[in-house]
Amino acid sequence: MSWNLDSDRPIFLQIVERIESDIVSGKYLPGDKLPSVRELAVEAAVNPNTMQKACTELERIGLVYSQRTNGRFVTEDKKQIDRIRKEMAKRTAQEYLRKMKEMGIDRDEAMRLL
Amino acid sequence: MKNKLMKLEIRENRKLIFFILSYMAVLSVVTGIVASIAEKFSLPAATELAVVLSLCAMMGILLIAIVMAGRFYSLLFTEEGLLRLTLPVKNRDHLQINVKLGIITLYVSVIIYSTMMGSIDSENTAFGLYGVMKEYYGNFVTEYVGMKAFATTICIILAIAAVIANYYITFIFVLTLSRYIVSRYSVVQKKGVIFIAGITLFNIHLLMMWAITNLIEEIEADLSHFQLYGFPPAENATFMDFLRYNPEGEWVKDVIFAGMYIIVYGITAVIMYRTVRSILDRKLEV
Amino acid sequence: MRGENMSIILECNNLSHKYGKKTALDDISFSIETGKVVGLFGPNGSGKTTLIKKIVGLLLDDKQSVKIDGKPVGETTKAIVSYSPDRLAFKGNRKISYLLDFYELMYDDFDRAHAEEVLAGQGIQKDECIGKLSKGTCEKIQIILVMSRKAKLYILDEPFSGIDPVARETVIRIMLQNMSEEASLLLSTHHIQETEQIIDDAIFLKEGKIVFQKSVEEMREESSRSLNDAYMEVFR
Repeated sequence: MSWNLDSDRPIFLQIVERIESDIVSGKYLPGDKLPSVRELAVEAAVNPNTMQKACTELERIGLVYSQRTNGRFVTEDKKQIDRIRKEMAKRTAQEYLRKMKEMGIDRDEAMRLL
Repeated sequence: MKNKLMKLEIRENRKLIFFILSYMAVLSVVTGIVASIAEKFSLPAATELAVVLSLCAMMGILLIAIVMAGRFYSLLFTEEGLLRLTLPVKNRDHLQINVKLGIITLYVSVIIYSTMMGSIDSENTAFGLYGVMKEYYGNFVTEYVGMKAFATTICIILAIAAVIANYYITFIFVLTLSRYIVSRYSVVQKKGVIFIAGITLFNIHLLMMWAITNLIEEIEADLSHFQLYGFPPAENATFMDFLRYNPEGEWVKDVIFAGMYIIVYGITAVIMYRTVRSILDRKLEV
Repeated sequence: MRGENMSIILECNNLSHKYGKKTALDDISFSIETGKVVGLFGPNGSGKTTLIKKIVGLLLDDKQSVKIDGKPVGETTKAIVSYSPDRLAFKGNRKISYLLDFYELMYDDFDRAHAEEVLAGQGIQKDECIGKLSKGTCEKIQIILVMSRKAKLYILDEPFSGIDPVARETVIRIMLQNMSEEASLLLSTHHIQETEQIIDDAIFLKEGKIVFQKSVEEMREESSRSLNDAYMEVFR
């Protein structure tokens, strides 16, 4: 469907990752207002409950903050975004190494390939 | 909520009801005109035509019963039943509203039919309920004025009303019962089966009512045999003899017979209505 | 919602049903919490439609095994349940405007303006007859009408049967867009892959019995399995 989510991993985690990457990649700029939970749910074609859970998780990490009546906003704290960016990069690198290992390519060779 | 359902049903059926009623009104007027022409110029062919026309007009009454009962069936027992039976009303409300509407429409149609027939040519007594009433009770009403005439007229009207109500509820009863039997004993659910079961039930009912009506008529004939045998001596006459031999007691006889019709047709109507209601409330599964 | 705990909107306790001698539902117990989307899955003849008919009151529940918002099935529960049957419940000669009138008159919680807006958004004309429209459009109309009620419990029986993938996605979209916040939804379908992203809890029915009942996210977390995998495992 719209967001190409895998159905064998928790949906809410995938949504969190997806919004994280949207923020990191600059689709949502610091201080931008996020669409409402319902709008996001419809866009992603997931249940509003799951989207709600994901948004709560994003708030917990500190990537977004909510103003009671106005909705949710992307944090203006650049450091926070950078931290998430690094985390994501690390995760992707690890994923790369894991896959290389599965193919029987060791760490050094993988590095050389890069 | 029930009022809303009533509103919905009226809204849904008004066009059709209006169409049938105006069909009856027009045909009745035409019949009246043809009949009066036939009488004035003594044309036997025109009289026959008038008879056929009046039968056609009368078919409207049957048509209304069939259409309204058909509505009941299609609303509750076909796909639309999924919609109707999940409305926030009791199942029995659907029955109540349909029966109310159906019977009222039938009454209106009978009134239209008889007044239209009678109003064209008040001298003509051959056509319509009005004419029949006039023929049988016209003299009577002028002879016995006051409470006697009033009581008799009311009783006869009530008896006719009971017969009409019974007639309509029979349709509903037959449809519901045959549908219930078909689904209960898991006969392959086909409209044909329901139709045959319906016809059978309807005929059984007709036979029963025919037997009862005949019985009432037998009694009536028995009570009227003073015309054949003359009066007994007044000193040892009983109440039955009073009814039998006294022309003064004619109105009591009429009231009693009307009462019999009311009781017989009324009670069977109530029994059928209650049976349908309990099927809808406790047995109906779609 | 009552306090911190989610309240229960639907409760089935030892629910059974027989068609003649054939058992269709065998001692089923489950409940649906407020706000949850529950999927009801199972092969044909597993009792999905029977279960739904029990809940909406089309089949009799003499033992009062079903409680909706704490009350046995009746006209009070019918007022808070919005139900879409497994087949089209309208005759072909009905116009869409008639259906709108019908819902507006009979359901106090029906939002006509909203329904008209969504219908217009789908390019559906109000003066068209149901009989002339495609199956997918009819299904859309039925879902729009059902979802335009502010009900507490939505029950959709096979909303995707016989419609193409694009219409299916639209129907899902309409469902998500229009579900009222505090409402629960019970969805019966064969299309497990298309719907598993929108489902909180899944119930699998097999021959009238519940053989699987789990929170889908928990299952993914615990065993990295998709709902489809679980379904295949149970029914293969």
